[in-house]
Amino acid sequence: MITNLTHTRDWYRPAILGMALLINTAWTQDVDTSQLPAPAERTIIFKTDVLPILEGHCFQCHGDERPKGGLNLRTRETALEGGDYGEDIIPGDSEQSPLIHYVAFLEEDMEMPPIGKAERLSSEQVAILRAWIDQGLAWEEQDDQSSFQYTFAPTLGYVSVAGNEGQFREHYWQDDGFTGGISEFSLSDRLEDGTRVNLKSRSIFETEDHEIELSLSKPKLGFIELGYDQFRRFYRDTGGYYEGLGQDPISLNRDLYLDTGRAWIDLGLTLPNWPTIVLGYEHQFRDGEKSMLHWGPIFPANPAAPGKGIFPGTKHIDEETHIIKLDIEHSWRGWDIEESFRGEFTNFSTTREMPDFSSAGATLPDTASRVTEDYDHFSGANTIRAEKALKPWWMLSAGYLYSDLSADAGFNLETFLPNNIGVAPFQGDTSREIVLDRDSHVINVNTLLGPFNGLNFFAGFQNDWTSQSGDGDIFVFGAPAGLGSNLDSRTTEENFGLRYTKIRNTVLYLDTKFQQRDIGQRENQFIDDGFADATDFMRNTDATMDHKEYRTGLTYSPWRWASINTWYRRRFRQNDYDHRLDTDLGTFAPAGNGFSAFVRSRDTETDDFNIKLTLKPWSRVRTSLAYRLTATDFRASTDSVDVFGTVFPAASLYSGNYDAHIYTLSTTFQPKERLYLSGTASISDLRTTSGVTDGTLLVPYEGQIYTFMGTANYILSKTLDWNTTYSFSKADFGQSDTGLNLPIGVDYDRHGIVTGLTKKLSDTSQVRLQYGFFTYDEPSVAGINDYTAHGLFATFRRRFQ
Amino acid sequence: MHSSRLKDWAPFSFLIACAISTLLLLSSSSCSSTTRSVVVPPQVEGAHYVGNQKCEDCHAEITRQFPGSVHSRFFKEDESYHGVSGCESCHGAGSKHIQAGGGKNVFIHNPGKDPQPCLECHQEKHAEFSLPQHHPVLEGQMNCVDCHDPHGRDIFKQPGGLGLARQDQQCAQCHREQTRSFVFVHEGMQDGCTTCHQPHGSIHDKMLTQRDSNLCLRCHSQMQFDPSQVLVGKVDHSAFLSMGTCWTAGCHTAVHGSMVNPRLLY
Repeated sequence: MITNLTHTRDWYRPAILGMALLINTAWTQDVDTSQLPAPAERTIIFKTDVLPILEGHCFQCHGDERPKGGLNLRTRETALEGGDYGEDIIPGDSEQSPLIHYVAFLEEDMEMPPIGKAERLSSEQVAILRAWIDQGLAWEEQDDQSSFQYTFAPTLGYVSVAGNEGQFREHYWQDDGFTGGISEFSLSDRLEDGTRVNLKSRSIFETEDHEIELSLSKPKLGFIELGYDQFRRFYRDTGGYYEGLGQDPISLNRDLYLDTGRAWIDLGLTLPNWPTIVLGYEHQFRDGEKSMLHWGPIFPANPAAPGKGIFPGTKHIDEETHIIKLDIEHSWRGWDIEESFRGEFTNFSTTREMPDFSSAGATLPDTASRVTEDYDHFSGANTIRAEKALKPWWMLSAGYLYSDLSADAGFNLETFLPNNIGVAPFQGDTSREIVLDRDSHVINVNTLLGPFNGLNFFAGFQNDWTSQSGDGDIFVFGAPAGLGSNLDSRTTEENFGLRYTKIRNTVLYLDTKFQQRDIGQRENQFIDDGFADATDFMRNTDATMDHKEYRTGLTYSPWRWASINTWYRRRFRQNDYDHRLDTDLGTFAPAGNGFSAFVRSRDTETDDFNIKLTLKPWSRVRTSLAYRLTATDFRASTDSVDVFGTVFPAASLYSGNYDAHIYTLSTTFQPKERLYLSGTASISDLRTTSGVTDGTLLVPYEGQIYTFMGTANYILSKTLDWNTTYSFSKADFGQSDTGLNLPIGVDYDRHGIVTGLTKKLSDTSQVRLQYGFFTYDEPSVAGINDYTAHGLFATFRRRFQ
Repeated sequence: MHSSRLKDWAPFSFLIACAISTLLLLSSSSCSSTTRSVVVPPQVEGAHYVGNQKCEDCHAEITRQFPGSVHSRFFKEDESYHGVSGCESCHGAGSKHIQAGGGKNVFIHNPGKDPQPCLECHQEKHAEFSLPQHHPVLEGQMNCVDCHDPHGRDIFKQPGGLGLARQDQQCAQCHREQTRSFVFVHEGMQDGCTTCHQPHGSIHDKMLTQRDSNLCLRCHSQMQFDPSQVLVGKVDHSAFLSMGTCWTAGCHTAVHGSMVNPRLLY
């Protein structure tokens, strides 16, 4: 029985289904088949006679994707299976086939296609369908994209790099030297029983870029999806640079990279009238070694003999995560209900090696620190959501999330002598046991109303209670110590939004977000070192955070070829601190050193303005011009503070400022039928300052970033295309305070151009040859990261069908 | 707006004037054409636009929440704007997809697998992805929907309709090490990852928004009555600032949190 329920109120669904069943059983008595058009008196050819009717009138609802009433007309087999309530086609007997009764509009409320959804079948078309059924429902293989086909594309490349090879690899996510493999292998087919098979894979060696995905899905039964993918992230092996040392920057001479990937399988059950159930497992991993920014300190105070620690820092990572997931979706009385569970087992170990100090001219640090951490956790999270359109103009959703995390951690710090690895490391902090817990409860309610005369209104409320704790027994430089922390937070968030579309060619909108957070935080560290709490740390802070955000804007598009979009956003965040207990008798600090210390409140105000004009004045030209201004002020209020006898009065302080002006121009231009040009240019003018006004201590961080990306495509002939892409970026954030400080700012120029030809060898095969040229120049680190690279790439692609 | 920045508005005042003038000029000389539109949807050969209402037949769970989404700010129900706003502006013309009975990637584009439809409008993000440090979206290893929900209420949060999305959830699904529980957590984590990181792309390692101590001092207020003294906490850091950035100079290396040290030294 065909039942298209999409235009039926959900609460009528059971009644309709019952009626449909009755109708199905009593059909032959109720339908006056004498009104049916006579079957066409000729041999029906499925592809030319029937398929156009199905495509134009039926597949929209009765295809592979969520077929209405369970009836899938994409294959003969699924058509003969009928819908959820019985068979719809009786081969050889069109007069008794319910499908014909529906398309001939013989039954009230069961007309197919439903009135208003698609054009009613003509008598001639009904006659063709009748003849097709009477002649045995012939169903030749459909010549469309979903029949069997596969694509195979081997590729080979070679890149030669002069200069810093690691920096090239990091920038382009690609290895130098020879790379190659299969850039694409895909296969798709639909079997006679409607089962869809899809396979997609890619495997590039040396760059270690691999992907394979396989999916099998059968309508009204379920699916299996499984796959594996991984990619490699490269890092350069050079650290920082300080001109005052008069020494070349140091390279580790090691290939640093991190492999990231996952393997997964999802099993889904999609039985009619049953909940959709998906059970899955996923294994994620990260393995390798990456560079760090931990370069060590510089001591420029003595220009005659500046001390240094600058040396590349690295981190080894071995991380694995196993995830079990269960998702259940079901519609019940108009409610769409989703239940989702995630169980996650994560374990990783990391080792950071960071320089502490090295003598001028040395190629290895005199001393370095090694931090080893282990971490295991189980995290379980369960979410249930429900959503319903209560009225055509009123939608409601609500949800609840519970998550719990339990973790064990290990920590070890040691200092060693890289120049003399025979000397036993000096033991720093090390853990005996560290345990952590975190649990959260989140509730959420949302409503969407409208449109009422062009007005839509949205409101949302969310409350998040999170509690986390950490406890540990450790040794601090050999002395036993206990440590603990508690962090309880309650976050309430309210969202409101309005959208008005009644003004011609215009959308007006207003959004607000309010967030309030209360935090109670306690931290302690008690060291049993025989010095009467001399190095103990205790902190108890209550904090409240109030965040307000307002955004309003409009989109005005008087014609399809012109549009202005502009918006303004203001954000205000205020954090207030009640620092109830703060004891820190460490070596360097008087009591009251834990954050927030003497800070009583912290305010952040941001103004954000954006305008964008997009035009397509001629069919061959499209351009857009955008400007964005972001301006943020950071301020703080403090108590008076006594630092070793020097009293600083309470004050309202300017803490910092961030200003950004970003201009973007993008244009596509087709001067000739065969030539297509596009380009995007952007200029960012950025400046960050802090309250430190003494330029001998810290200078503002400021500069410009320029980017350009351009593409040119030219069709040389029916079988030959020329394609070129060019990418450029430049930054001038260099700082000139060498001698006083360690300048950090970056100056660089980067260019990359790839050009090549694509030759169409036949309707199903093509070959592409490309040449690439890449340069990078970074004078702010004395050129140690510079490179010039040339690459050749060839890809052959063949499609079989 | 902050008074010190009023002069900053001059450039875009000029820009607005240019934009409006250009628009008026063009409006007086051009005629409307369905072949010209400011949005270039993905091409589906042989297909034509059908409008959101047709999509709703099968994808009601998406279309009914769409009026609450960020992208609805650009949606016009007028038939003449089909393909310029709404579903088909990102997924391509839908007639052949419907004709074929639907199906994943059947005569329809899925920006979840290809970021190009997103980058057609978000050109400034395209520029950020071309900076030296970036998430590998243009390289095909990630996609916009790994972090964004284009249909939901809050585009910066995980897919899931109108609700139950939490701060930094999308970052935590890959960066577990940084977002795990710590005994001593950095308070800055409460403000969110993007306080310090620029997720689309940056000129700085680790995709930082700034690369020197100015980044930290925005929140760690310093009391500088005496220009030679910079208090962070109750410790004079003036001698430390010259040594390098707070987290690179061998001091506060545990920037996300520490298991053993309350001052996040390691």
